[in-house]
Amino acid sequence: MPDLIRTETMTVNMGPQHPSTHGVLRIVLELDGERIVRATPHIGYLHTGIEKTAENKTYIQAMTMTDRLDYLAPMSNNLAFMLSTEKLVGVDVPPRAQTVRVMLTELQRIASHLVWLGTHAIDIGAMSMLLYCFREREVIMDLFEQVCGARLTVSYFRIGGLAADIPADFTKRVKDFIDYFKPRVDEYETLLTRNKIWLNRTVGVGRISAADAMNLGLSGPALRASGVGWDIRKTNPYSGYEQYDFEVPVGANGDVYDRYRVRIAEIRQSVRIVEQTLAKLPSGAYIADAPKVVLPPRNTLHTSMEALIHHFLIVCNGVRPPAGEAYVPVEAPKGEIGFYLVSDGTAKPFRCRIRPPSFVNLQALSKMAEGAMLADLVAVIGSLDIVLGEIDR
Amino acid sequence: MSEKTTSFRDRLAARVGAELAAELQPVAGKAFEAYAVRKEKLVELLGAARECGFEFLSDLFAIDFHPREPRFEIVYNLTCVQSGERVLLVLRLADGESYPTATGVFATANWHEREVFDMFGLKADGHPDLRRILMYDGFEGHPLRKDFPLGYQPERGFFEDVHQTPKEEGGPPF
Repeated sequence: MPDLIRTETMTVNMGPQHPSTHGVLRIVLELDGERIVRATPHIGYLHTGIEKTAENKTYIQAMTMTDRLDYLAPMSNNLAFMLSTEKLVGVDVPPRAQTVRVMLTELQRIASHLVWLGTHAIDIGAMSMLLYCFREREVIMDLFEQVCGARLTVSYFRIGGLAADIPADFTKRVKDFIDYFKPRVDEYETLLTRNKIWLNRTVGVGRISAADAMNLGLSGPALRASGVGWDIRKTNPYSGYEQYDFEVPVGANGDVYDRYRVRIAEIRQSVRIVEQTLAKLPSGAYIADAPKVVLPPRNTLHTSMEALIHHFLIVCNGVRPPAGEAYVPVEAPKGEIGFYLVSDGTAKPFRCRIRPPSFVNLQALSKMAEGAMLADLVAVIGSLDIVLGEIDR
Repeated sequence: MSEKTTSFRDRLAARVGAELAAELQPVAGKAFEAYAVRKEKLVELLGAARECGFEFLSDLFAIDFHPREPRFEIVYNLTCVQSGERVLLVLRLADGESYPTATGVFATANWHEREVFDMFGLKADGHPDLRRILMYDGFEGHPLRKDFPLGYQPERGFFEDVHQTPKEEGGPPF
């Protein structure tokens, strides 16, 4: 009988306009019935040439483009770019600025994970999660708007510190949010963690072993869900992360469910870190005092001639770091992000290489989707938490 | 973060032998401890680095130092996830020169090498699927080269090119 019936695989195109691909990702699928034989991602639809453009902008101008990479976590991108630039320039950041940076990037991690949770859940069919997650994320967006006037394209960090000090009632608003938010995480978990439909759709799906995950270069929650407890905040602390008490959640099975559990646990740890930054927020300067390379505080421009001159020169001519190379990895919500900057002594980076976590993580999709059902592919894409702005750059 | 006591070269010598470690030529001025390597020994050294605990290829990218010769550098950013230490292997290449693929040692190199080909035109020998990754198939030129002007667009149109691109053997029919 098998000789008489001829079967062959079918090639199906998914995307680039597909709601569950979270942007313009195209996947060419080879299907055997409903089973995936091979999944080949095609990217580049959102390519804007940020690395090339950065070579033609000053360091401060180039920083504004990092907002457009992972537009769900612009604070983390800004921080990574600024840390590399500061290492090139050789300037120390005052403690207050460091603490505010940690507070904002951890709020950013919560916001990014909330978007992930909402969209991932709606992909699998838990519609109500999106509304709850975006309700809380909106408060974080309001906080960002209060601090810098923008919700997504924040560009709030500067060489040596921050663009401006945080507003007077900001810490109180963050505290109110944290108090409101803590019980909300439990609510999400009651809706999903032991929900039978959720378990059926996620447990054992898109599994990847620790060895494969390392080999494929996965980083961030996607790697930790496979059981490798690597967190850059612990191994290479930056911005004073060594002062905070937090744990690194690690999964065991490396499936969609473990990636969900790891991210939920990370939200709780981020809440802990934000609380600690609120408790210890030092007073003092929000930007370093190094007039040749650091923008003077805005209010001094009206009274100090020198500040005005330095401001003018830094904005018009740009900062000129000595020739050299720098790379500071940062634990972004998606994984390791970093900017390998090469300076030739001019005001513009000679080379600005972006290490994009989503780009590298997406490469594991083929491996995870192999042999899975077509419907599970949606769950796998969602669990990788990709942002196409960063993949295509 | 553990304090670095011995250099990567000493550790490699202790682990796999002094002969291979002698291939590593220290390079100053990089972001981390860096060594220039010959491309004939690259794959072997990457495998040896993995045995020394640098099991994670964090990044692989090219830098165009035009008009310096040799013009290109390919940087392998290796990470030890236990300690967070990093070491860079640097491969120096002239224009048009190819280099051996690292996909046999680190699967993650696949897309990075495609990107290096797409953006700089440097080919990885033995790569399983060396196609453009970010630019479209009919695009001419390699945008991140220093002699590619910012904002330059090759004359032939996008759609025209795509339809003229021959279908790859065994690939999807569209």
